[in-house]
Amino acid sequence: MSSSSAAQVLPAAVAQLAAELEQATSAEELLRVVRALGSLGHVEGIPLLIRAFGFNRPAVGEAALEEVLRFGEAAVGPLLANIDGFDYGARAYSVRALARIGHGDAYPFLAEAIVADFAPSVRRAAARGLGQVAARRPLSDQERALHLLRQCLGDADWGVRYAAVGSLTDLARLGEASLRSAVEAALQMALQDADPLIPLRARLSQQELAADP
Amino acid sequence: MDGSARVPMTSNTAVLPQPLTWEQAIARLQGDDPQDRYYAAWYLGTVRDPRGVEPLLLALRDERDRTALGGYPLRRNAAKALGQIGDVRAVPGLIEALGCSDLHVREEAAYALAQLGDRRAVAPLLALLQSREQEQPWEAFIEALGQLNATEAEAAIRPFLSHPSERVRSAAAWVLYRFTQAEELTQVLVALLAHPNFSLRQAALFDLAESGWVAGAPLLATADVALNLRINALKRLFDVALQLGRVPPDRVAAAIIPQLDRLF
Repeated sequence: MSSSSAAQVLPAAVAQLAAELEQATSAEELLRVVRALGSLGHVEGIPLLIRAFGFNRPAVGEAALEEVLRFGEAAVGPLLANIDGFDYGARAYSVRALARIGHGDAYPFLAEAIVADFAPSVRRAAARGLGQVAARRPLSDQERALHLLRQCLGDADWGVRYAAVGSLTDLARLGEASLRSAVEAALQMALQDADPLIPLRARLSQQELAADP
Repeated sequence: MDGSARVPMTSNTAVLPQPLTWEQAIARLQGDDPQDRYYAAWYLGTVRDPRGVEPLLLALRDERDRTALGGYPLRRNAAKALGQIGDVRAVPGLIEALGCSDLHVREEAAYALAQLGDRRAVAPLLALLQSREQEQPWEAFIEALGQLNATEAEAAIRPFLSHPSERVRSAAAWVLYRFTQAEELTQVLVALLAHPNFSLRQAALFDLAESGWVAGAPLLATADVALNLRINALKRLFDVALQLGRVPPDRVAAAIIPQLDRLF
C-alpha cells in the first residue's frame, strides 16, 4: 500500500498510524503502532495490521493477529481481500485469523488452501479452521469439509493431521447434528495414528465431545 | 552448529535432488570431479540406502578433495551422509574421523555418531571434551554426548556453562538439564530465548526443546521466532519428553497441547 495515496481516504488517526508504521525501525515501535491500531478500532486500520503479518518479526505478527481478532467478523472481508500471495509466513497469520474468527465466508479460501497451498504452515492453519467455518455453511459444504478433513488425517505432515483433529471436533460440536456420528468415526481414525501426539489430541477431543452431547 | 559446514545441506534441501541411479551416484562419488563427488556423497545421505556405507567410508578417508586451508569437503559430506543412513557399521570410521585435522569433519562426525546412537562413541567424545589441546567443535561434542545419554560426561560438560560462546553454553545447559533436571539450568535457555540476536533465539528454542523441560512449553509458544519453528520446537519437546519418560504422557500432553493449539 502506498501511504501517500491511501492517506487521503483514511481517517486522520489511521493515516497518522500508517505513517508511523512506515517509519518504524524497531520491533518496539512496530508493536506500539500495532497496538494503537487495534485500540483505535477503525476497520480502515485492518489492512495495516495485515501488512504487519509480513514484517518478519514474529512478536509483531502475533500482536497484529490479536488486534485483528478484536475486530471479529468485521475483519473477514479485509483479511480475504489482502491475502499475501507471495509471503507464506504472512499468509499463515491471515489464515490463522480467519480460522479463529470462524466466519462462513472464509470457507472457499480455506478449503482451497488445504489442497493447493505449498506451505505447511498455511495448510495446517487452514485445516484447523475449516471445521468451524464449514459449520456456518450449508450441509453440502459441511460434508465436503468432513471429506477434506478425513483426507488431512492421512497427510504426511503431522501438523496437518493434528489440525484436522481439532477441526473435526469443531465440526462435530457446531455442525449439523446429522453429521455428528460420521465426524466421531473420523476421530476414531486419529486414535490409530502412529505419532503419539495425534491420539492424545484425539482423546482430548473425545472428552470434550462427551461433555457436550 | 557452525554455519559454514551447514550451508551445502540447507541450500540443497531447498530443491529436489537431481535423481541419480545407484550406479551413477557411486560412479560420481568415485570419479574425478570434486563437485560431482561432493554432490554424490550428499545424495547418498538423502536416499539412505545401506549399500552406501562402504563407499562413503572410503570417502571419509579421501585425500584428494582439499581446500586451500587444508579442509576436507568430501569427508564432511560423507560423515553427514553416514549419520543419515543410520547404519552402525559406520561407527569405527566416524570415531576415527573425530581425529581428522579438519574441525568441520570432526563436527559432522560427532553429529553423525549421535544419530547412530551407538555407545561406542561415548568414550572418544568424552576424551576429546576433557582434552583442551586444540580448538574443537564443542557444541557438537556436547550435543552428541547428550543425545547418547552419556550421563558419565556430566562433570566434563559442566565447565562449558561458562564458555564464551552462547551456543556452547546453551548446548551444555540442555544436555545437563536432561541429565539432572536442575531447575537453574533452564535459566540459561530462557535468557538466550530473549537474546536480541535472531539466530541465537532460534538455537535456544530448539535447545529448550531438546532439554525435555516440559514446563518450558509456554516459552516456546511465545518466543520471538517464526511460527513454523515454534510449532516444530513444541513438537520436538513433546517427542523428547515422551522418549525420556520422566513425565507421564498424559501430563506431557496437558502441558504441550494447549500451547500448540494457540499456534494453529
